[in-house]
Amino acid sequence: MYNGDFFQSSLRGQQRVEAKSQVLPGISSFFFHLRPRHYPAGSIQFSNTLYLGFFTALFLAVEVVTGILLMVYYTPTPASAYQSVQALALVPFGQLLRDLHRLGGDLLVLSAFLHMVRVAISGSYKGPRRFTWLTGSVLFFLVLALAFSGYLLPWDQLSYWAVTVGTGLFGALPGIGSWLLEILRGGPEIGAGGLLRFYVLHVVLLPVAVLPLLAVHYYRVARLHGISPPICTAARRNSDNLRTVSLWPTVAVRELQLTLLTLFLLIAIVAFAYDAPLGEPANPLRTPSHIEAPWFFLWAQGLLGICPATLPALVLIITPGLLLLLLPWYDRRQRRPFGQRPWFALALLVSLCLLLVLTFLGARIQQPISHSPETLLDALVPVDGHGPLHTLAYDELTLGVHTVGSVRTDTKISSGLEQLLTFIDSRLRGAAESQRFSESSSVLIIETIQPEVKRITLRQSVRLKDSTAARTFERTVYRHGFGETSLLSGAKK
Amino acid sequence: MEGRERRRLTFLGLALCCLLFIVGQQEERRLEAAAAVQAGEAVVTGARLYSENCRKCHGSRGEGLGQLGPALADQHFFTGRMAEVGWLLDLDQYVAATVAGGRMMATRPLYAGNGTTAVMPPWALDQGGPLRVDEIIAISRFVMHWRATALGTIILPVIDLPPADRGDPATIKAGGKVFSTLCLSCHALPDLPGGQGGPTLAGIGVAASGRTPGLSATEYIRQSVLIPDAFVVEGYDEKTDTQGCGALLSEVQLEAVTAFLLQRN
Ligand code: HEC
Ligand code: HEC
Ligand code: HEM
Repeated sequence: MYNGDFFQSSLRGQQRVEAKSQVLPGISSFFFHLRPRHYPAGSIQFSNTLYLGFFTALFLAVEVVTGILLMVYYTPTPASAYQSVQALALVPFGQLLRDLHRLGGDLLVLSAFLHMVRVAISGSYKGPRRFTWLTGSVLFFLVLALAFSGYLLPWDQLSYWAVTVGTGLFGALPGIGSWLLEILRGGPEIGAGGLLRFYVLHVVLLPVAVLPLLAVHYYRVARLHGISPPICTAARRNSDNLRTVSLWPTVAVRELQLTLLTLFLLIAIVAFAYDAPLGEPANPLRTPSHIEAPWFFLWAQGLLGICPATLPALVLIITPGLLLLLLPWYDRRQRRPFGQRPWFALALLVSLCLLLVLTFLGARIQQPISHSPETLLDALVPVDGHGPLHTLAYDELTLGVHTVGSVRTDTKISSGLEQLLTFIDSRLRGAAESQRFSESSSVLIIETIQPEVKRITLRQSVRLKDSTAARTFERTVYRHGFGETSLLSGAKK
Repeated sequence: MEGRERRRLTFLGLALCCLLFIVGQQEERRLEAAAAVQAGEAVVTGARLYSENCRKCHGSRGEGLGQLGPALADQHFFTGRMAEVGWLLDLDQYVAATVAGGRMMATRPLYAGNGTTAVMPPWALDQGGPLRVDEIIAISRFVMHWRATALGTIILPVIDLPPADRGDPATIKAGGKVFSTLCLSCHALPDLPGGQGGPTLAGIGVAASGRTPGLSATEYIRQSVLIPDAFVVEGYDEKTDTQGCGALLSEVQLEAVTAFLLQRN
């Protein structure tokens, strides 16, 4: 039998006699326990925090909720991971769920980063808040690890090879490299073992590591030091910072508003404008021509691209993390307004620019640079994934044998196809101008092989500069017109 | 101030509810569209895998290739085949099961093979083949999608295709070598005096495409070597019993010698 007195006594020192009105105060005191009742007015001042810490926590909550629901459908085995992700689109609100989780994760990384930049700019990592900064940095690494481990789970070519290359970096570490690699991948290459490891990391280990750390982080901000007040004139400081606002209703209502607004925008974007990407299923036997790191690690790819060897690049990748972690310990001067910290401002600006430039480089590296016929074909008709031939609607693919670069007067072709042929022609001309081959001609053959199924063959004859014989290269893709009549954005191209 | 904040909260709450309502309304249509798209995607994947793996025995349009493999885009396959083999489930399951497990022995004497290897190898990964389960399903969807054209309910437009020109010099060179060692004993070429066991292959690159309706030049040359009886050149009807065309060669050698012959037009 429930014994309220006993229960109470075990929780608190004193006994309460009346049990009937315990529920509501019980609940509210639970929440007030989590969060202080009163805050300095500066806490809810937008210009102070940009609410970035709040948004980070909110996106984390979105990830936890959608993630748990996704676990119901996801199977972490190479044989069915891809299918289980694909099949989500056939589950009511499954696509929505997946898109939310993907977009939420990207936003989590972004907002955690911006939050960090905000804290750095306002100099709030100094003095007693050093340890808060430390927990925050570790949280940021954990968020990156969460994003990276989740990236593998759809098990498509893009994620498989990105993670293969990403984990491969660790192999360059002297001594422990190969050992670490084996632990991460669960074998010489990522297979069933590796997928399961990443899954366990993503849904158990990393979240379990994040939660207590977040508790400490938040405890230190909310209970121990409060949010650092804006540094400004003494007069304003007194008026602003000594004023407090209470959790209920002021802070809570503001947070609820932000939550509702964010959810509204998130769901609207996901329902009408965004689809989480899913490429070709992972194929460990076929290395794609372009391997692209997830966007938040593109800078590392850029770095690898310009570094002659892996080990120095790896050092360059890890060092900024350490510098970040220890920032409050080597920047020990008194907290001052941003404007009065020119060296810090310069360093921050340079780092951010460097990050952007490297990211840009990383994104560029996957572009093929040589103009050999194979790479040319590869750009026009990639072996994996979608190229220009996929940009046309099914009905725009006019049947026939279309010669690239000639004027067509006889057959009527769709304007989209006309543009595509012009595009292919311009690429071919570009290649010809690079003087790799002396002569080339191409045809695009479009035929129907089954109802609503077309085969598109790009056949290219080239005469290489150094040889007299013409060679033919060809690539084929298939397109379907299933469900083309439906108007929805949910339909992937 | 307080009142305004609360009104704002109510407004945001209502807006979110409206959005959820609209999204909910559309979900059914989205599901239908997604199902259609995925069905199409499976057929398209199947088409690619078929062309990579199955075409060389069952023909590029599923028309069957001599003794190598039976027709699949065929009325009998869609109407009578299940009863013929006593299959009790659906045809798509028959296709998937056959493809996954391959065939050790043919059910019809025409496809008997040489009695030492499976007439069709198994394709599923867990049976020793190269394809994942979803790929087997995709191929089966593609094969099943031939139904309408096989039964004649839909007739597809045909276009005149330019002949594929397999002009890779390295392959042609390798093919020339294969020809000298394995074929020259029976076949002559204008610049290569050879044996008299078979017809001269002068101009075969052009002639091949006209020999059997529906077979491309490439397929015809392959067939001549693989299934000598499928089409017999005039005047060789008797000889073939003892001196039929053909030689023991690997797939790569056959590819190469085919490319070599196609160039000789
Ligand atoms: C080496 C040649 C070869 C290849 C390659 C091949 N098949 Fe077959 N296939 C055969 C033969 C031979 C049979 C058996 C005919 C019989 O049992 O009478 C057969 C039977 C079948 C059948 C059953 C047909 C029937 O009438 O019962 C299907 C379906 C089929 N194959 C599909 C495929 C698919 C799909 C692929 C590609 C993944 C493929 N085959 C690749 C030779 C081949
Ligand atoms: C033992 C002798 C012999 C050898 C060796 C031989 N063939 Fe034949 N080939 C023939 C005979 C006989 C015919 C005519 C009967 C027929 O069409 O099947 C023929 C017909 C052909 C045809 C059809 C010609 C036409 O005009 O339709 C082609 C193509 C062919 N052979 C290619 C080859 C190739 C390639 C090789 C080498 C891998 C080869 N043959 C090796 C005897 C041979
Ligand atoms: C999971 C990731 C994180 C969450 C959920 C989170 C949450 C929060 C919240 C809610 C605040 C209150 C103030 C505000 O909204 O800005 C805060 C403050 C703070 N955060 Fe974070 N944070 C995270 C990551 C980080 C990171 C990556 C750093 C820096 C490396 C960091 C350092 C700090 C510091 C120093 C404060 C105190 C700021 C002040 O007093 O003005 N946090 N954090």
